[in-house]
Amino acid sequence: MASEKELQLYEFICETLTEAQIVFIRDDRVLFANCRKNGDKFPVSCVFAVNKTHEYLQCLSLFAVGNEYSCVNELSVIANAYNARAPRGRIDIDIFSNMVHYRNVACYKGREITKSFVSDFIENAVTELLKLDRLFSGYTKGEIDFETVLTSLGGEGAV
Amino acid sequence: MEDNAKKEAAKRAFDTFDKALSLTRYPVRRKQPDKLLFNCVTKEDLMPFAFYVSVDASRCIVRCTGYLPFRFREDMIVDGCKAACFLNYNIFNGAFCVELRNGYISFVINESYEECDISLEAAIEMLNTLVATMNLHKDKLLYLARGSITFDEFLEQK
Repeated sequence: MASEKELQLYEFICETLTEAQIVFIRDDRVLFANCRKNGDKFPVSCVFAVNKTHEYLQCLSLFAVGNEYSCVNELSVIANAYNARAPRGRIDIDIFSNMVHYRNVACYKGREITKSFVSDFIENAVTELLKLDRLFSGYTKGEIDFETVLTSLGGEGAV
Repeated sequence: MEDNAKKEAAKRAFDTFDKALSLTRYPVRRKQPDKLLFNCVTKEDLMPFAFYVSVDASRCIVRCTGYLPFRFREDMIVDGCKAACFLNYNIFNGAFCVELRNGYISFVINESYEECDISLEAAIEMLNTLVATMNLHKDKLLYLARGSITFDEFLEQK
């Protein structure tokens, strides 16, 4: 059962997405807002949710899948370079399937979360996702090389 | 946020972590209020490690970073990166990272306090998550870094 605070947080998420004109489907049972791809306007699908178990706001997205142009070794190096420097959020690689996820969380335990905090959380996650999607879609098509992706994400050069 | 408001918010975040560190009793080796930085170490253990809590006033972020006291050799850094990804996939908050330049392994947790101060509860949770997660995985990372186990054996370790 969600608390009043969690329901309020979920409403903040939905209001912010509506104001940003991001198309999403509500799942009020689990407090998920499933954002859908919308052409060039919003090229990734992702979920914003209130995680009641851990008491975190979270953003999850599967935004790329590795292929013959992007081996798991390179993807792992890129994820490490990004995760070491990103002020928020992280890239997750499923090393068995080559799937590339983005995840960002914010703890709301004991905090009076405002709508501007939620808006900032969503805005930051969307900006990162769009940046990563552009880079990774070029990379998995073989249009952008490994070194360029690494440099763009703050890495030190190829290993 | 205005510069003054940012400075005040950063100071509040620093004070909250000061309190959280004293409640969790992690030894603080050096407290630098001017740099908004704590240099800490874990409690007695066979393999204690250092961690830092820093407040980034311009971006309104608190960053907790722990460093394991060993590193991957240059020829094993890619295995280290894959191992970090494997672990991160099942970790809810924070991320293991292998530094590409030197092979050192860190674990990083960030939290924003923009428009909303970090509570004492959330600060304690950050510190405890960092230490518990690193303690849980440090042995198998050490075995992999030393070459005592292969990458495939690392994946099989519970």
